Amino acid sequence: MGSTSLNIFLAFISVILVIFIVGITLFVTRYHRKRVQYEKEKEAIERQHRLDLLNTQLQAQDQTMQFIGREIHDSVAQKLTLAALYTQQLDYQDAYPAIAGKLKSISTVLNDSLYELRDLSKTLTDNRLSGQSLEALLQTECGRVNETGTWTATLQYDFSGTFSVYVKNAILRIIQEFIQNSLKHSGGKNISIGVTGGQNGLQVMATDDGKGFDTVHEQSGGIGLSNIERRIKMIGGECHWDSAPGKGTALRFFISGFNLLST
Amino acid sequence: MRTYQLIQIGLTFLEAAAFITGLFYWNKVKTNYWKWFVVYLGAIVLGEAAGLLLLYKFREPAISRNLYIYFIIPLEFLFFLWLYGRYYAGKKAAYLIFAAMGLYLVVFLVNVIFLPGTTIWFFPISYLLGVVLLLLLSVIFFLQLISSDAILGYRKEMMFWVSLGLLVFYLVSSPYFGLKQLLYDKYRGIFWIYYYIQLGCNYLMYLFFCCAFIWGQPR
Repeated sequence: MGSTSLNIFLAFISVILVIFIVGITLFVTRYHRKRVQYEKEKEAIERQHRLDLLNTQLQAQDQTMQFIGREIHDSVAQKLTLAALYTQQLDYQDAYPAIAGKLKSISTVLNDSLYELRDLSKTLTDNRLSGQSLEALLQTECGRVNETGTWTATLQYDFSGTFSVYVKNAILRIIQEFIQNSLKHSGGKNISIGVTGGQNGLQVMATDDGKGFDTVHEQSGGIGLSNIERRIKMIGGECHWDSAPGKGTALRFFISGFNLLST
Repeated sequence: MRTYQLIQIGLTFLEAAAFITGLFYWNKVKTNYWKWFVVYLGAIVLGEAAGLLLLYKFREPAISRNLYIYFIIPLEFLFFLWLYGRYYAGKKAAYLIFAAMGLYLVVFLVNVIFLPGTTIWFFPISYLLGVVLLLLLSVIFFLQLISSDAILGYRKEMMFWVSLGLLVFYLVSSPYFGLKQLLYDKYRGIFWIYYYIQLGCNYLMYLFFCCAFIWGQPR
């Protein structure tokens, strides 16, 4: 009886020990796993929040530009037109022969300003985006570069998927920014734009044969480069610069199929 | 007074400390059912103090033993079953727990009125039932906790500390209460080691109850 009871007692103790060890191990493992999962979710939410902020900033920027464009067209341009008309009238009536030459000059300056302002207003309130394909829009950009006579821009478009207007807008702005940077700072002669991919994702490659920059030591602190990076991040893309002094600059970015449809 | 007696009295002081901690955090619990946990601890302190006085001062071991059998132990089981029932309020589990509470009460009354001294594996029937029910509930609580997001905030979960205390105490002390007479008669060395271990677990349980008040946030 005594020995059986002691055996039962020892069995009890062993079971209790096993329960405790298994329980603690299980608890710690599960806790750790949940913690890692929680951290990942938190990070994803924070990333999404940052993207939303960027998005809002860029939307506000676009709206401001649209507003300024409309104001220039509706208010400033109208008043300047009136001023130009008055000046032309004075010139036509020959009311002040002593300053006739100056009046002509004023009229010319006013007309030039009007032309430039209308051009600026048109650029700021550009609404051709939704109506044209990305290929056509990029082709127009290349055409503008080629018009300079000193630069050559080529486009290779081989993309078969679909994307939202929002993504199209972002890609166009990125390429415009890249071209502007190349024209202003690179001192090269050729720009090449390549768009490839399909439903699984879109890859863009923009290169110039300019002086390039040291991607390791030089900070890409210019507004242009940081704007490009911000816009790529905003549409969930991954950006990669490939450049070295004297070797030109290449910008590559990839947008996954899922992000292509983001709005 | 011997060491083991001093440690036994020390336990009552720790129970009182848990009760005082509960009072200290009264504002946290006064608007929900956890206030009854403080009241329960107060009742336990009074019961245990009376049991010790009867045992060591008035030399009435039989009355002291009866106080434990008829008041303290059933109060412990009934209260914690009720606490789990309230914790799962609104869920099917709550009805099952309250049914288990009723079952315990019936078995306890049958045990003390009609079948006094009846044991299963050296345990009084009602005690065995109470321990099994509480262990089952605390294990279920832990299994649910580790499979849900609540594990991330385990420290603030009052029921976590209560379940941990109950699991540690009843799991370790049950074999002792079942076999203590046998161990005392035949294996005195093991008896004393196990006596201190189960007392240590009792201390731990009340420390965990203090943690429940300090870190816990009632839901």
